[in-house]
Amino acid sequence: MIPAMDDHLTLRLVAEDDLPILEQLTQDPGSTGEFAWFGWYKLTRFRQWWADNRLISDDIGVLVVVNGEDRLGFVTWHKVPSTPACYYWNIGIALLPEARGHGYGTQAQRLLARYLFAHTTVHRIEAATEVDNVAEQRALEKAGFTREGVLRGVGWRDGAHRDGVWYSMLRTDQPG
Amino acid sequence: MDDGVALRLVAEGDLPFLERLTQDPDVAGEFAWLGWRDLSRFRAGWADNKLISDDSGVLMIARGQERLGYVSWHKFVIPPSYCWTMGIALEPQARGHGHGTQAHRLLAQYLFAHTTAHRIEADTEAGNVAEQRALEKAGFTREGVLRGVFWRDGAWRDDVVYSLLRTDQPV
Repeated sequence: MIPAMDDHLTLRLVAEDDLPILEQLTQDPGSTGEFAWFGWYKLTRFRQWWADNRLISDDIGVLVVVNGEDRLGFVTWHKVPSTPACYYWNIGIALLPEARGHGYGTQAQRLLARYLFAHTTVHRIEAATEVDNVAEQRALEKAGFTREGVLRGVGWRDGAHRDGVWYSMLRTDQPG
Repeated sequence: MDDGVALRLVAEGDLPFLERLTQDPDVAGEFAWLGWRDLSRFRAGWADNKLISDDSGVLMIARGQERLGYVSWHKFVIPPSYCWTMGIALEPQARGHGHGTQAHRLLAQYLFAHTTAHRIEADTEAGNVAEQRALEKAGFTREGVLRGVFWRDGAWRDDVVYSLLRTDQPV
């Protein structure tokens, strides 16, 4: 994949022939990268969810990140209820190994935030990553997210509890 | 600290107390008054499972026959692991005596004893200084402020996150 000068990243719905890439990015340790390899579980979940609702529901969603015809990876979001009266979104991203390190993660997460602020009334969009995943922290900061703190021992990966860094973007933040 | 404070199961006779603490604005206090909603949740939950399930729970904070408040917890799943998020509500007269600190400590001991959880989390509104002091005295570590997490009384509110890990030194 050759990084073009005139990158035009977009997010689109997941098509059936995108599913193998989604599976590769979650179930192939060689592709997930160190911070996203959590073991094999529910191997057929994406196919079942896709058959069910094309991976978009009121509470959760998945979109493909594309640069022209090139598929770069996926963004995801899910609803976090904070009280019975309100909720916010927690977002995530997975890029193919060859798509990392080109600023695509920054652009994709900015596009997803714009999409969610446009189509839902939410005030807060949150993202969390492992404390050693410096690339994702840099991408979130470049996308305009604010670092809020480190939650200790919040995740489990590769035989150990892991600390997570929390970020957010509010509707009232200045565009990053 | 042996101040006689203990946690116990919720009895049917405790339900009006739980309802008053959550549905009467004067009793709930500024930071816990989120409007009336699902008025029958404690009764329905109690009829169903006495307010204890695998994913959540409510226990009374009592000293002898006296009801001081309640603690609650629910499971926060981040696959392939989980942690507990805990909360507390005290009677107005029971506030300011260190009972909150002791109740947090007792619930953390209970959850670490009976589950494999590594992390117990507690969060409170940034303006709720009393609860932050209680969590710190109970040995919890302040981790950060999550902005605009929830809506209370006409405005988005920031939330301070605390945690206690199984591996933290006891205080």
